[in-house]
Amino acid sequence: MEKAKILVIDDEAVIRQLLLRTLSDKGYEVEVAEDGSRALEKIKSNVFNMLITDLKMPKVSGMEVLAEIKKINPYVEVIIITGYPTIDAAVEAIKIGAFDFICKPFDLLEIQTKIQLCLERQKRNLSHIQVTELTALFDLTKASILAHSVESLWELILTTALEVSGAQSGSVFLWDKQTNSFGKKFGKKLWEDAPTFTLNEEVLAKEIKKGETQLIIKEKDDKLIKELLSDGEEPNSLLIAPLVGNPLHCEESILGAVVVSAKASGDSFSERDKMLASILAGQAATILRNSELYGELEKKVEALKESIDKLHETQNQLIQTEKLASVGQLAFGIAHEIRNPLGIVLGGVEYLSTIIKTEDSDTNEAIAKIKKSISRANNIIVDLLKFSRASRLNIQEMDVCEIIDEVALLITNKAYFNSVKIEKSYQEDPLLMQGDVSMLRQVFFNICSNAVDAMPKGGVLSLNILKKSDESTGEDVVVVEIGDTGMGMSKEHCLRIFDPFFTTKDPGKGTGLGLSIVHMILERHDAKVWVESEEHKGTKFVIEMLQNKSVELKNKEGNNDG
Amino acid sequence: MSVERKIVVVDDEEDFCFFVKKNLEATGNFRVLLAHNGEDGIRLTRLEMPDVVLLDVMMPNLGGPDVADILNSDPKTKDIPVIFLTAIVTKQEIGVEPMKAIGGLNYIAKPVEIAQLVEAINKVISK
Ligand SMILES: Nc1ncnc2c1ncn2[C@@H]1O[C@H](COP(=O)(O)OP(=O)(O)OP(=O)(O)O)[C@@H](O)[C@H]1O
Ligand SMILES: [Mg+2]
Repeated sequence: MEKAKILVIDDEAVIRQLLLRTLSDKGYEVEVAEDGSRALEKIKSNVFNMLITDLKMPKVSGMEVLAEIKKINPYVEVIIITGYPTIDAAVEAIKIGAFDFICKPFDLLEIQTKIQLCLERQKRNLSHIQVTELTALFDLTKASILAHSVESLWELILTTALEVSGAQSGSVFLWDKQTNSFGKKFGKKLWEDAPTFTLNEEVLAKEIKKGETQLIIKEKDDKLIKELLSDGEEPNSLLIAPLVGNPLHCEESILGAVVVSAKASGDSFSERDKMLASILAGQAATILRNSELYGELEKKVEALKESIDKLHETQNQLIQTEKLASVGQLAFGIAHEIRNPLGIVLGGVEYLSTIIKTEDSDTNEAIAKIKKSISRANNIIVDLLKFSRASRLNIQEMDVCEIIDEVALLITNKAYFNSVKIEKSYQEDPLLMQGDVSMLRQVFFNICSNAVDAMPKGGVLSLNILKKSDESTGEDVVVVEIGDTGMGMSKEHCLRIFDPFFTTKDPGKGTGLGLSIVHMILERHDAKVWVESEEHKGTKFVIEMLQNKSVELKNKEGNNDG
Repeated sequence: MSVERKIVVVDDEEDFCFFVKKNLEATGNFRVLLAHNGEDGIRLTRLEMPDVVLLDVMMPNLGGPDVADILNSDPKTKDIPVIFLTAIVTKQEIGVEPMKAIGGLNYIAKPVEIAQLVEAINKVISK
């Protein structure tokens, strides 16, 4: 495996040295920078996999540096160094897109684990980076095939035309199918005062539709020359070479014309010049046709790029929402682990105080202090939970179909590896409703991801969207059904899937948080979710959401951040 | 209160049960019986027919809500009031239902002061 490259940014020399030494020992390629501007220099000349950075530094702040760096290398992973392991620090880190944070003083083992995890995630994310690189490769191919911009292409064709025919000046006329006349023109003279002539384009058009290269000589074709050229100077001869896409259908496939006039020697053009011009026209037509095709291709690539950017953005949002949600879920798990012992301590203190039953004020004060500390510890946990739910829903009008499309796209790779086919059926498309786009995307993604996991030997993931009205209230309800033909679940199994940390997957494969996040988000949307499943047959998740959110729900959001 | 009330506490945290029993009995108004898993809790409740059952929510195998369902579907025990004890944060504390809805039942969050617990027990008994 290639060595991962890490850049350490910290203003403290001791920390830089410490990380440089330990990480190099572990086989990473490590560079250090003492401030933001040094870091930026290094980033410009190297491709790093990861940054480990302090946020509080003199001059340029770590935040600013990060923003700059992400512009140059958006794929770099970031781990923050922080002095205090506060929730604020964690939130800040998440906000700026950092993967994780480490606290001073360092636990070197912990740092290594975090780096490992971080690099693994980067590898997973690399699949879509490769798509982007693919387009870059395409750009390269285009450069080697055509080697020139459109302008220099004409320059090239014209120069060659002048060269082979010995003319002093010439022009290329491009046919515009839309207006059925000539559009763009390129002219070239061999020297400053070479004679140029203005051609009557209508006559020229008529002539080139004949599809043959024409040699026009002054005395011989006087009539045509008079028609072609408005009064004034006349060249002694002209070569008109039509550019046609398909020689069998000249009129329909006309692309343009190359016209050269006035041989430098003062002679008339010869039959040999005519033949050379006609060969050149044939080649030019091919290049022109390719460049037209290329133009179309370029548009497609442009569109592809756009959708890749969108996908990228979506993926980032997904990671972000998941991260926020997991802070909450983590708090949820911690709550259970800590409040149980707190309960025992409180019970114990109360028990002791009834046994002692003393008037001694010191003892009673001690008991009161213990109780106060218990409630302080408890409050921290409650705050943590409140915080994790404080992130507001951003309810707006959105198209469910579009979100499901995005999720289907995001899951495509995973589905492909499991030989899972994706089938969509939308009763209405688009179907507008109110909801938090990134949260709901997370919901659908988590469910789809489980569905694909449940079909290791292939199957069908079906995504249905329908609309109905609530039987009792008559309100419009949007129903999303996500079905799979996988292993299914027993009744008992179904009852527990929404619990945090419930998972049947191998260690390291699942955290058991996916569906509890789903539940939390849907609960906040006032939406319903249930599951229908049969072992060895498959599973269907049904989500019912009000199309228009009630005023109450929105108010609830407003109050939630306290 | 002169009559001694009978309470069954079902919780897998044995130390927690121990202190709840000590503290409730110290008031002189309660007799407390303990079970450390859902199955034993159901058996003990059927046998002793207590005035109130205190039920931990998160227990291995049979969790609090499951135990409550079973007690509720048995005509013999269906009228015995249940109070959930939970170390998981409750809706009252954070404003949103933190987990699978358990219905409009009584919750008490751990850690809980004994005075609060006594108040909650008396409330459901008097209903
Ligand atoms: N479509 C499904 N078919 C079969 N079992 C499922 C399906 N969806 C969920 N499950 C079961 O529910 C469990 C919990 O799912 P959940 O998404 O909460 O966690 P996970 O997938 O195990 O881990 P992760 O946190 O990575 O999502 C899964 O481990 C699996 O046993
Ligand atoms: Mg999952």
